[in-house]
Amino acid sequence: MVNGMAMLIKELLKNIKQCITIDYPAGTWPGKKYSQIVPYGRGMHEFDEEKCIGCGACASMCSSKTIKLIDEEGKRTVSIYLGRCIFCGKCQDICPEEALKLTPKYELANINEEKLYVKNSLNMVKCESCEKFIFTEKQINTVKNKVLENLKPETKEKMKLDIEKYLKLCPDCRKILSFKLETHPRKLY
Amino acid sequence: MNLKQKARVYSPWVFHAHAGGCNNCDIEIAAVFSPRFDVERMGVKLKNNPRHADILLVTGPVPKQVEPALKRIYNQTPNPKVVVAIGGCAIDCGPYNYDDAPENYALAGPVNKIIPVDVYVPGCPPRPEAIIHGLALALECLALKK
Ligand code: SF4
Ligand code: SF4
Repeated sequence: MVNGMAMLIKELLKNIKQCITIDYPAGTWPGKKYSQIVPYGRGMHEFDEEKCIGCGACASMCSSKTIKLIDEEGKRTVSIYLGRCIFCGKCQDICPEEALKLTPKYELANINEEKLYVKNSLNMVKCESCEKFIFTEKQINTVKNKVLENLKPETKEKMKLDIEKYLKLCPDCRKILSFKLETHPRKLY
Repeated sequence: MNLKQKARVYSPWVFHAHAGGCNNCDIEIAAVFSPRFDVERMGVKLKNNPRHADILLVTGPVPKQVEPALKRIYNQTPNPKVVVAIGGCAIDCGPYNYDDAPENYALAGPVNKIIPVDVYVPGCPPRPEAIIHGLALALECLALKK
C-alpha cells in the first residue's frame, strides 16, 4: 500500500513537468509547442482564381460528390459544399492547373449553413453556330495552347486555324460542321 | 446578462445524442473530453441525461428508427437549448445519401429536417479542435437565448 502510494506520487511528479493539454486556439505546429495542427494538414479549400479554368476535373474526382459545376447566365460556378467534404485531398491532386489547395484552416463551424460553401465563378463563351453556352474562356485558351505545344512545326500552321474554329463550337455543331475544317479527312485524299 | 444566464454560459452541460452513423464522430467527441483536448477548461461537462443538458451534440444521419427518440430527447431538454450538428452525416447525410442515387429508404433525413440546428460543424470526422470551436460558437448562441 505504502509502496504503491510512493510509486503513484513519483509518477505524478514526473507528469507535472510535461504538459498534456494542448493550447487552444492553437497555431500551426513549428511555432506553437502544444498544438497538433500541422502546416500540411488538410482543412478548408482555397481557389487560386487566376489559375482555375473551370474544367470540372475536381468535380468528377470528388469522392463524396460535393463539388458541383453550376452553369447559369453565362457563368460557370465551381462550388464546394464543406458539409459533405471528407477532406481527402483528391481534388487537390487531380487539378491539372494546381489551382485548388487545401489549407490547414480547420475552424469551419458556422451557425449559417449557407456559409459552408467555397465558390469560384468564371465567364463562359457561346457556341458560334447555335448560341448555347459551352465552355469557359480560360479552358478554351488552355486547351489550345496545350494542343499546339505538342504538335510538329509543319502541322502547327495548318492546325492552328482549325483548332480555333473547332473550339468555338459545341459538341453537337462540331459533328454537323466538321466538313468545313481544313484538315477534314476527306479533303486529304 | 442576468446571473442565471451567466451561470449557464460559464458551465454548460452537454448531452451527446448518437443518431446512427459510423461512430467516428463519437470517438472524436470522446477525445474532446479527454485530458489532451480538455474542453472542461471552458466549463463544459458531459452528462448522461438530456433533462440536465443545455447543449445537444447530435451525430449521424438519423435513421427512421431513431427519429422518434431524437425528437423525444429534444423535447426533454429544458429551454433554452442549443443543438450542434457534428460531422458530414448530421449536416447532409454524408455517404448515406447521394444526389444521383435513389433515396435511402432507411433515413429520416439530416438532423435539421427533424429538429432546429444552431451550429454546424463540418468534417468527416471533424478534428477535436474543430469541435471545441463549434462548442465555443454554441456558447455564444446560448448567451443570446433567454
Ligand atoms: S479547381 Fe482545378 S480541377 Fe477544379 S475546375 Fe478549377 S482547374 Fe479544373
Ligand atoms: S477533399 Fe475530397 S471530398 Fe473534399 S472536395 Fe476534395 S475530393 Fe471532394
